[in-house]
Amino acid sequence: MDADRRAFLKSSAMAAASAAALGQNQSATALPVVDGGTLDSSIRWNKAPCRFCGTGCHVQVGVEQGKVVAVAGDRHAEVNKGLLCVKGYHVGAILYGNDRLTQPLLRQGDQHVEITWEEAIDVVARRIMRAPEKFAFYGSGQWTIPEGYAAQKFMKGGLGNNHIDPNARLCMASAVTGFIATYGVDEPAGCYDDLDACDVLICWGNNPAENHPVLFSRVIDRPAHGVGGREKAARVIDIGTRRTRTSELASEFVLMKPHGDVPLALGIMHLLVVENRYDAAFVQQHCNFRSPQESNPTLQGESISFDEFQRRIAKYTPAHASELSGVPEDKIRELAALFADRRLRITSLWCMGMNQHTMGTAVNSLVHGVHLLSGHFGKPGDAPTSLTGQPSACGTVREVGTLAHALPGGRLVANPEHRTQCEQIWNLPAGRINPTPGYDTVQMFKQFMAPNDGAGDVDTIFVQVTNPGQTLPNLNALLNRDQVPKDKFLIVADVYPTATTRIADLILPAAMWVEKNGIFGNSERRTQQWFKMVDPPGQARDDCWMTIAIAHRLMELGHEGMQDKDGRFIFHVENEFGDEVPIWQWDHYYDLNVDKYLFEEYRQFTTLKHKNLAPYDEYVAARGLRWPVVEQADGSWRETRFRFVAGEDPFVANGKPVDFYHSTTQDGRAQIWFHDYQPPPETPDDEYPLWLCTGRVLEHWHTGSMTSRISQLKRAMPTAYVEVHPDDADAMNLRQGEVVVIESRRGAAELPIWINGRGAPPRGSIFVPFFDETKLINLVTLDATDPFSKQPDFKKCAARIRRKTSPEATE
Amino acid sequence: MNRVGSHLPHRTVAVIACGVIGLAIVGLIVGVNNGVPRHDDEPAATALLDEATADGLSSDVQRVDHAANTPRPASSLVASHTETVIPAASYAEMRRLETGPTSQWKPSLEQLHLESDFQRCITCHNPHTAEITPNPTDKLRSLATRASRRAFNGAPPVIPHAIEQTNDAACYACHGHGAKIGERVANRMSHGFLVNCLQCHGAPPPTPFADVNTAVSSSFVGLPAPVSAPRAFPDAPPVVPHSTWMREQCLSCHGGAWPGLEVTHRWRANCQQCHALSASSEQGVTVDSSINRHSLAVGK
Amino acid sequence: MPVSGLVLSLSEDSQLRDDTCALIENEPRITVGVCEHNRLAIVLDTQSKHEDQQVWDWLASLAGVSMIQVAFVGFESPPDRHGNASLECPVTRPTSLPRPSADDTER
Repeated sequence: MDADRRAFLKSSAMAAASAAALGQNQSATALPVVDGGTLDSSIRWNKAPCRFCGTGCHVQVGVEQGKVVAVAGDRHAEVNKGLLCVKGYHVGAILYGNDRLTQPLLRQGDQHVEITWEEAIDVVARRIMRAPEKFAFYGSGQWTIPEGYAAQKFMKGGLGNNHIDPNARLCMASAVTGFIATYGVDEPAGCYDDLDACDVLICWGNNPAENHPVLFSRVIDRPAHGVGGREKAARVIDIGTRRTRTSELASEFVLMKPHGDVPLALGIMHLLVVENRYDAAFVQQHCNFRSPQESNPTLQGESISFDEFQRRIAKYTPAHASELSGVPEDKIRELAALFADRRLRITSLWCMGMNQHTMGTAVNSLVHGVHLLSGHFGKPGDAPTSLTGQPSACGTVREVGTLAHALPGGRLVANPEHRTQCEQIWNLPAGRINPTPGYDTVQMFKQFMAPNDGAGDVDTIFVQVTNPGQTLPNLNALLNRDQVPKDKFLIVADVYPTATTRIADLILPAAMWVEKNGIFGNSERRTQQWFKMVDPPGQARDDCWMTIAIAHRLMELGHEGMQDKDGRFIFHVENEFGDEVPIWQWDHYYDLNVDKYLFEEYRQFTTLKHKNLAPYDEYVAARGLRWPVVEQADGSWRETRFRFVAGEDPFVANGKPVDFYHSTTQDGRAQIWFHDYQPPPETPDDEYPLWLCTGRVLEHWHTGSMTSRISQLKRAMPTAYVEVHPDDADAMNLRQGEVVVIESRRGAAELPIWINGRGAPPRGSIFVPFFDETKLINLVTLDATDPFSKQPDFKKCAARIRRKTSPEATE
Repeated sequence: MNRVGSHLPHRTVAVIACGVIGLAIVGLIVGVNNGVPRHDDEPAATALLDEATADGLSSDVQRVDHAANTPRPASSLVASHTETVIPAASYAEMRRLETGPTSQWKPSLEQLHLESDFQRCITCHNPHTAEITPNPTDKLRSLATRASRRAFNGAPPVIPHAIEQTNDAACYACHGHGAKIGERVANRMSHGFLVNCLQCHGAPPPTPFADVNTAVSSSFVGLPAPVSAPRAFPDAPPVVPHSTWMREQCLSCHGGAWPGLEVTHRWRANCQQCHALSASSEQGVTVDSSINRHSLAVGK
Repeated sequence: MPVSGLVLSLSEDSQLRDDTCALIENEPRITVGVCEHNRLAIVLDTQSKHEDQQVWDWLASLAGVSMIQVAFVGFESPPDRHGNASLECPVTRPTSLPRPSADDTER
């Protein structure tokens, strides 16, 4: 027996004996482990955040012979602690649908023909060159941070054009305006640690059991794990317009009318105030009161006194709030009593229900207000927390600022100082950045669908990493192939054929997820990095490379904006010898880590709003870090769990327990808003008697372009459907599984009926998930938007069910 | 019987007692793969475990009865001592238990009641308890069935049967302990209690959509299940060839529910005492930074 | 050539425990690991099973050691004529198992 083997045996023996002596035999590290090399497998594991939702679970990706073959929950990740959901476990298969796009395709007549990348980049550049001001970039909360940052710099710094907006406008724009209106700065103060510590969890119109399952499990599995010393399950209160899987697993379900969250929050505030059970000390020290102006309301609003606040909220008595919200009076009193109890820790979660809402900004602000008024803020477990649906809605959209009105790091295009700061960091001539905000999503597509010779001043849209042909509301008006006017040009970079690529004039095949380097930012301010692990198929290439290649081609064609004030390319990168690396050529794109280069440049923008990021290499070693990440005296980097709280947030002023240091009133205080209830833009009537709500299901993500190519997920949920209450079905004589027509004033879609299905809507209400590209429910939805956030309301409009009279109705 | 010990010379007591202790240790360390060393002149015992005391998963386990070609055991060996048997910890309990003396522990040899205590020991620790020889054909069939229910080895299996209720209690009713329903065995859960079963385990299509085509066109090839496991040296206990994350209950799959995959030595309690884990598959390698081949060169 | 990882349960008497620890630490064939309460992890590395038995017996004879548990055993011997390495028990071989027999009971 050789000496090495003997040493190995002895160390194994000691590990085993130590584990037994310490009683540690549950710990993975204390177990005797053998070197992976002794296993007859060439599989290599590496970390990456999951490609799907905003939870930001980390997965371990197993790669063998250049292919992803397995995925495991990452045990070292704080977010998910080794657990995933059914989508996450199968995320590896998203790369391998047989219909991956692998070649640039240009429309010629009724078909798409293959062209080379060189031709494709030239087509795009010349199209932009024709009229740079009529070009628009439609991006995504699925963009990686470097992709979004490159697009942002290309548009606002290069073209001087602000028509860049992301699909996140449809998803969490109202959360942003809610945070800014309340705290003066975007993104949650709390984090997922609150889920381990809360006594009460209130879900405001969201369904986390299906849409953020790992976070929901973090709460409901607490008794099994004894997480955070709180072995008792939190009391989970699910407030919603239909019963869902969350309701099944919650302690109680509270049914409300559509739009009922606004009067419910007002009713709770009313009781806290009139019964004098609000947290007077917290409010006196840390809060102001605010209300929108009578005319031309802004996010700043106007100051109101506490007396004025009391006077305005007086009418939201339990009886009135109950009438508007549909929530029984005693339930409103019960919720108010919970908030009045300072011994409890209360976490609120919400997502699309409060965001996709024509009063989205208002209801976001009101729920923050309920927490502030009751002092349920800033202690572990006491937090109003908004969740995101996309993996980098926070990182790429909200932080990089890929919105029509924003610049990186929380800056605004309308602010001259902010524009100057960006021009300095980007080394651009003064005045390069356009001071007028560009078109938001709905407006962008309205302009695209309007004729060029009329009002339409967007003639080319480049869509990356999203699928507006399926997700825009009121699709007949906003993106309808049959009605796209002449001389419009739609460029779509994607990984699979989608509803949008079918309309596209030019299709660019994209690399995805671990086929490229990337960085995401999740819902709890956590920035997460991963490396490329496998090659993309065929000619598919990185989205970031496309942007850089287009920019370089524009420079070659003579567009001055693609050069900085010293005449260098705006994406100029040098190697260690000082030679420029031609990263616009695909063959050289991976000569160095472009992600790292862009991230280090972007990092300079993040200190203004105290969203400080660490150097790239810190993220390589970590399973994500929550900003602000601040360097310590010993050179280490410290993340922040709870913002605005002394001892946690390094930017809180000395001596203050709580400090809202970006307060819109510059006094360190947050704003408690009053908003009057406004009815929904469309309510059911005799002609269209049903409420239509749209949403998501556990098995599919976004438009299903990835998840519907995974057999385990497709099997579990093969089709979209319409949930109907059994009594409504009886009244209309509808049978289980029967295909019916759902129609509104805007359009129609055909879907099979599901009675007593996964969700249970109340009478007079139906629900349809939007993932299925063969059943486009967004032909039916409404494009009315919130006045501040410009986010549409996908959750409520008036619709009706019509039986099909054609023979296939009986299938 | 009790008087026997006191009549024996001290030295003999020591030798026999040492043997008893030794037997227990042999029980811990031997018989990992080739079964238990046995000498021709020794009696072989038939299975002391009867069907009733085996865990409920053993329906398909093939037993090899050595009694067929060996002499009948001495009657004293097979005497029923079930009423005196010290209850052994189950696999599920093992991970939570402190190891240590049982309630029957005697601090000194003099206190041992030799014969009765010996019988008690060998009830569980008898190296001659019928060994199970997994059938290779069964094994391949089991592996194929398992592979059909998951995307890759280590993926949560999909639910192979229709479900009407989706709450956790409905799942635990059968999968909590591995209920046998007719000819089918409900796999005992391989992991601890988690509430939202359907979070990870994909169900069959909802009944109204059972006829919808669910075929996908994909070239994804998942990691296959290992057919065998590497050993450090011939006859060493094989290492665990797969990750044990979310699969810490070894008996869930190796307890007999899957013919051909069952453990050969079901009287052993602590699997990872002998079967080592792999650092790579257990995520012991935290970050593979070797692929960070791209150095940064920021141009200025 | 056995290598074994053992857990010794030591006496509750702290003086006796310390004395015992000192004795064990001085034994060159033993590597001492962590000690938690009265549980001490050791690795026993010897050249032969006989030697292993001797150390085991010595450990068992110490007044401060109340119990020995086996946490790990690795012992390899040269392959036999079939090319198989054999497992050997460091303490006692199955052949020395006491078999209660009529003779024994009568004695």
